[in-house]
Amino acid sequence: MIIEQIIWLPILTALIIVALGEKRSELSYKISLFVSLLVFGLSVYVLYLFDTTTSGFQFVLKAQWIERFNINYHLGIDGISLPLILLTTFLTPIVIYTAKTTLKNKLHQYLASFLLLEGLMVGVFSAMDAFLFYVFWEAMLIPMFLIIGVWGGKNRIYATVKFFLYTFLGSVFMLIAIIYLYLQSGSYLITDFYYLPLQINQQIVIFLAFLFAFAVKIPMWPVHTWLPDAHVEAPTGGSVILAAVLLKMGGYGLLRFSLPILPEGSMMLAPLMIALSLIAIIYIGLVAIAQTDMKKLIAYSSISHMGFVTLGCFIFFIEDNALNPETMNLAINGAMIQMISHGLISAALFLSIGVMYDRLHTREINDYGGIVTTMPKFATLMVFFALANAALPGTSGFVGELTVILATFKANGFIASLSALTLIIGAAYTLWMIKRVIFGPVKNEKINQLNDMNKIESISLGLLALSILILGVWPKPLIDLMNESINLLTLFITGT
Amino acid sequence: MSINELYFILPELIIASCICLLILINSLTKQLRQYSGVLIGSAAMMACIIVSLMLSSEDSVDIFNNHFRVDNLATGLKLVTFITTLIVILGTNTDKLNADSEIILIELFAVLGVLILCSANNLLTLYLGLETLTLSMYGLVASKRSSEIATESAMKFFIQGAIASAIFLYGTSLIYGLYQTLSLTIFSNPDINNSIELQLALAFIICGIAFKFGAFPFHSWVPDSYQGSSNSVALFISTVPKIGAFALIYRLLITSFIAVSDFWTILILVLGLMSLIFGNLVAISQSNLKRLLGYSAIGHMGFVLIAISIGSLEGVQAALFYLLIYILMTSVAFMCLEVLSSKNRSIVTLSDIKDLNSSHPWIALIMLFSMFSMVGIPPFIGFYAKWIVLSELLNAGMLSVSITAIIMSVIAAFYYLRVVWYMYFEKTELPVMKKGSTLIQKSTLSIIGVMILLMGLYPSPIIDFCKSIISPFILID
Amino acid sequence: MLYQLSVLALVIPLIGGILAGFLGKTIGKTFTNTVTIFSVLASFLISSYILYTILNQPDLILNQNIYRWLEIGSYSFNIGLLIDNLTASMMVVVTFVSLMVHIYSIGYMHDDPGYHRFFSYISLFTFAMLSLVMANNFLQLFFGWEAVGVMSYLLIGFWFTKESAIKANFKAFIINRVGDMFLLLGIALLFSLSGSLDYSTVFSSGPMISNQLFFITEDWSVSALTLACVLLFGGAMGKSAQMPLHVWLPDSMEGPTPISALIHAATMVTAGVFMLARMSPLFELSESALSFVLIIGSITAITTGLLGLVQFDIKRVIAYSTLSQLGYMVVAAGVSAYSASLFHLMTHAFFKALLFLAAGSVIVALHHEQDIRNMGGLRKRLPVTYATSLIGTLALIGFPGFSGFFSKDALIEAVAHSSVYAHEFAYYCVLIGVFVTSLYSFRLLFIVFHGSLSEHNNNVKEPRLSIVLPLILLSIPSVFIAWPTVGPMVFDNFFSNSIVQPTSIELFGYEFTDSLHFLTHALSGPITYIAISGIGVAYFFYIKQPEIPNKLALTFKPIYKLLREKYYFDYLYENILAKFFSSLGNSLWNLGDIKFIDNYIVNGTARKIESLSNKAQLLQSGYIYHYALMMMLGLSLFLGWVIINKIGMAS
Repeated sequence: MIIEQIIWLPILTALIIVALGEKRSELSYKISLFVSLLVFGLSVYVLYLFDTTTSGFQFVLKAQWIERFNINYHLGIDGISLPLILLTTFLTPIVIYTAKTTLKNKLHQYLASFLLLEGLMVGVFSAMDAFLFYVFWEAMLIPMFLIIGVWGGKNRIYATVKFFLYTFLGSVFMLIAIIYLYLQSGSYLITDFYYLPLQINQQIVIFLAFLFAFAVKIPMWPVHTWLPDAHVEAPTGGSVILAAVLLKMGGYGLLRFSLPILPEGSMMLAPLMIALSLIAIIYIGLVAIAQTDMKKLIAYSSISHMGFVTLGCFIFFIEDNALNPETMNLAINGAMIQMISHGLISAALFLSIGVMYDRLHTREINDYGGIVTTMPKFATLMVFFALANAALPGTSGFVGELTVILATFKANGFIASLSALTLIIGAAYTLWMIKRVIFGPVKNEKINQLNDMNKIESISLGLLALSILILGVWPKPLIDLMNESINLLTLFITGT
Repeated sequence: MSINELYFILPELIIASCICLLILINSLTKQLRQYSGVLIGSAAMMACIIVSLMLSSEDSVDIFNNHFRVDNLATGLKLVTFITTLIVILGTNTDKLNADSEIILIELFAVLGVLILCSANNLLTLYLGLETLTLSMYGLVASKRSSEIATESAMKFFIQGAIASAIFLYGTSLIYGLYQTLSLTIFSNPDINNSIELQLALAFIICGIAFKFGAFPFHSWVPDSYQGSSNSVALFISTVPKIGAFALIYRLLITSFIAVSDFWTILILVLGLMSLIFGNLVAISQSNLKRLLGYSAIGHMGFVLIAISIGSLEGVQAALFYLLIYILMTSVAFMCLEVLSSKNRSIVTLSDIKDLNSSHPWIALIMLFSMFSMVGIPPFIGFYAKWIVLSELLNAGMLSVSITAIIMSVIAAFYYLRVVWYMYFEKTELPVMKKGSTLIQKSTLSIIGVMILLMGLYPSPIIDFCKSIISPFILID
Repeated sequence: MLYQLSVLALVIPLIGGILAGFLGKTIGKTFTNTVTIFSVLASFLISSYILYTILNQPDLILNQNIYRWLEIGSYSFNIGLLIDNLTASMMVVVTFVSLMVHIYSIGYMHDDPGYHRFFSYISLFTFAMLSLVMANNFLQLFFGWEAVGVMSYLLIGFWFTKESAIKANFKAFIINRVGDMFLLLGIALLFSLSGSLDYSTVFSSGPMISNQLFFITEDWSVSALTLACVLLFGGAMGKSAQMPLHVWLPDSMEGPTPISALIHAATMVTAGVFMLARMSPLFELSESALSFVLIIGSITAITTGLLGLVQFDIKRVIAYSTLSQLGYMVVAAGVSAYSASLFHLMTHAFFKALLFLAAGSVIVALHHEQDIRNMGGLRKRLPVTYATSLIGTLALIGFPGFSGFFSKDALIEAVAHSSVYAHEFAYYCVLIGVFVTSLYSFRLLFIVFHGSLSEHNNNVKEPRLSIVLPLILLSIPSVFIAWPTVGPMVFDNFFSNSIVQPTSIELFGYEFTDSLHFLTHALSGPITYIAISGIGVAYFFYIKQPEIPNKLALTFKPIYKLLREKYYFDYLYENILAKFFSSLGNSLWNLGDIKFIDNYIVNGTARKIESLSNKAQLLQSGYIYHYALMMMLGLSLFLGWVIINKIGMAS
């Protein structure tokens, strides 16, 4: 059962690596790199086997788990989860590969945490049983808590505890909602929830309970303040996975739970969600301009970009009071692409900042300047990623924003114009950072002695750049992967 | 009284005889002393486990003219008691101090008390068991003779215990006054009138029970005695007596006064909520690990009581499940301290375990398991405990209570996380030294530590176990 | 066949650019410039062939998708080619100028460390520009639109250690982004109305759109088509630097001079004009959009021209002239004389590129001196440069016979005969513009090449051939290109298969017979005389009485200051808007995020809980009587509750 292997192989390896201990960290580095690559291979094989013509779940595996509560160990993937799984398995090897350049102490535990995280994340994306989903969802907190706390910056403890409590508080409400749905339907199978006849007021309450969990993860204003701290303090790898995959859990949750289970509730609260998305896009964008810390800046830009995901998930509800499947399709696909592309781009940017941080041990923009004169190769890539972050056509960043804006305009021109402000704001904060960090006269002696990217760095950044470019130039395959499942989703939303 | 009745009290007999044997040996020889306790104790426990497994196949009987009942619950709880005690004994340091104060001997007495509680079917038997347990607990707490804090806390414990027993006893006497009988079976008939006298009596009794659980406001002894007693003792008194407390509440309220359940559930609920809030709140500002665990124990007992206050069969099952899980987690936590402590350095405060990850990665990991399990993070078993209680609460439509419960567990998360962060994030000048804790201890710790994870991955057996031993309440119609 | 050729023409510069970019540094300069120049040359030849074939088959239009970019539900977005007369001629112009600039750069950038970078950039720019003009759908248009923007961003900031350069390129990108946002919104609006991004579909549904309303609020609605056109034109305002989005173009002169010639004179900045022509089927349906275009264009034409009078940086003068000429083109589009506007675009591309390159050769000769106050009398030292720039200038001011004359004259004729709202205003603007143009052009020419030769310029000499050659090559079309082309392009139906516009009668009010006749006819109009009077004034001011300009500047100080300060646009944008937004962001961050959410709510809750916990801890006093008291209280609480309960029931 291949999905199961993708989940458990990394987890078991993590245990082995922990057992190997600190002395053999060199060996564990090799092992973990190998395993993560193997897992990526497996997921590519899944992609190869995946049938894009059917909308339902594939690679389904079902086994009794807790009979008394009718809980099953129930795995399966569809077009919505597969891209995210691929994203996860693609980034984890990169993170592990780059781990050695940045890290000194307790490398083995670091690697183990990431392998653990990988398994759990794939688990979240492939769980068909709500209880199982919750188990994976919550379990992820542990490795992330350790990653930020053990290998983080000087204010790491505050950051990681904040991260943990924020997310924990969010998800317990989801637990209550899930239990409630179980009591209604008598089963924990997510797809059974879709058919529950729920009253509108029930729907709203449950929606809010779910929303609390997802809004924290995405994160949406005003429950976003854990993210900048967590990003700033986390080690490079941590920031990468956090921004690239963990934030996507929220969007995935919206698509997997909120929309299909609670269509009326979503419709009722769509205006709220859209308002929050716009706040994320504009308010947070402006906040990003004000940042002096590179990681904080990218963190805020992540929040701002995730605003497009939430916008895409809800904008179609307000289209002159009639649900139009076409718009819905466009918007949700846009949201999905935005998630994937933001995963790649933010990962790339955090890695790049890591590259600079390893050399100068500062994230302050003012300590930099004229990097390009000493690190031309790196500068080229960095500028490319920055432009991608500013949604330049030809990079994946553009695809999502274009589709979401098109869909938004179909629904409401005014909101579309507000969201389109991101073209200006996004360009402003990203390129202003580039202007101050990469370009300009060489700021100080330290920068004069910098040496350009080493093999590991150039390979991993190059791979990311390539994938961003390909997705930008030809996003069709990705869409074809998701199309059927999203069609099904729209059917559930429209209630037919 | 016939001979074959003795078969049903075989476990009690074994314990009793072992106690005598132990006293004999320790008084005769000096050199054996250090190991005699562990050897005999664990042997006895293993024997008892086998016996109670045998007994569990029997259907329930009342012996000694209905003073003593051996049913699923009794055998089940006894089994749990034996296993817990076995773990405790194996985990206990076999150093001179413990040997001199004959901890294990006293622990066996306490176990005896618990056993009697489990099977009590008569207020007198019940009280007998209760006192046997409580008295030996005083002894245990005071066992660290040299330290004054130990004696002080023992003293406090004793006085409070005395007050509690008095209250309890008064309640029972009221009951006797009402019905001229002490047999518990009598009370469990539906047409028992919900008179104010009965309610007053129950109020008294519930206070006594609350003291055993260490529920707010009858909790004060818990943190003090945990802190005062040595790690080995704390390991015992934080686990085994809780089983007795559960037996007590089950025998007295759940089965006997089920008819007036809608009265006492309210009191239990109040107790539960108060201890949940108080315990978790105060635990936040603790720097002493044992004290911290003490307050967290109060919080956990709050959870158990809330579950009981649902008043339904599932509620009680959930409560028992939570209790068992709590015992497992807390014994792991204390055993970690026990294993780390040495004669010259006893690990009690948070700063003692700074950077444990570097000096003892494995033990740190197990401690982490236990902590995250207490927070209620899957896949550790503690999550399932909280989840089952929550789903029963929601099932009974107690939404506000369940929300309070989860909010408190989020707040509680903070201090458990703090333990983890001291072990993993902090750096220290004096790391915990490698010391000669026996292989047995280490392996026991490892086994139960891993159990936290494994049970989490497949919790069904315990869930079913709880289901099986909580028989549908007897209601004579 | 045509399709494959077009794809080749598009892709070859890309390949050349990539090769130069990745291998250039390692292999060497000769490799770099050969590969790029030959790729552009190939592209130029192919383009010319395509133009040739199309000219022979008048009704031949190639509209073919290369591949499907994205497909969501029934919507599909493609990458494709639309080859018609418009595209073909644009391709030729673009590739030709680009080729010239490539050759020119060999010499100009010779000693620059970023040699290979430069060549790969300009080749990539050529690719981007081609993909813009060859697009058959809005998506690809937008792609090219932004891609040229990025290349211009990189090229303005080519000397990235210069603070002014990276400031200029940041500014350019952001202001272009403002335009791009409008463009994207316009595209989105058209998409939401027609459900497609392909030109053909959108244009065919134009009439249907034209009678739809777009509701901005419940009761306030505008014609959807007009809104779409205005939004699209907003994009054009960014790229073609129309007021008030023009401020980036003068600053873009921070880039190397070949760039100013290629991007900021000949090709990229004309993208907006090209787009207007391409969108003519839509614009023709909306009178009000056209007059909006007309007004913006004429304002730009006159105001920016005036700014050219007070500049002392040789390149900035030409930059402002570019701005004003772009204004002319937009004006022509505004009176729906797209052919005239495109014709002016083409001639302008040649002579403005020529002017810039000539300026560049001066700059090189003077070792990167750009201030015209340090020049003068260079005509003896730089004869070729002088001759060529004289040609360029005459073409620019529209001196009879030069290419500029034909384009500008036709353009102004069209304005004169138009009936769009505000056409009189436009007419006077362009007429004054003619005078201003010749004034600043000859001011520049006289100051730089005439007058006395200063000491330190004594030993300057013509730069190397690779710099001079393009001047000569470019001056040829600057003079002659209009003679054969004006008839077919402006008056005949050369563009009829790509542009919707009224017949030449409606536009110009008379029939075109041949270029000579057109010349004589035009001499009867005012334009030529205005231009010549401009030359006269310039001669008087800068040769006869050089002190007069300063006198004027002193007497009309406020006006002079206004012009020097460029109407305070930069001040507005940099010191007011930019400052406002950054401080807004700052306050949102400090007050909203840090103070309110984090400190007040998040940490506030934590603090509250902590203090609660400390309070609760006081119960654990350690005094046994407190404990006892607590137990008693608990007990009495229960008992009291029981009793009260009972009493409640009893009563």
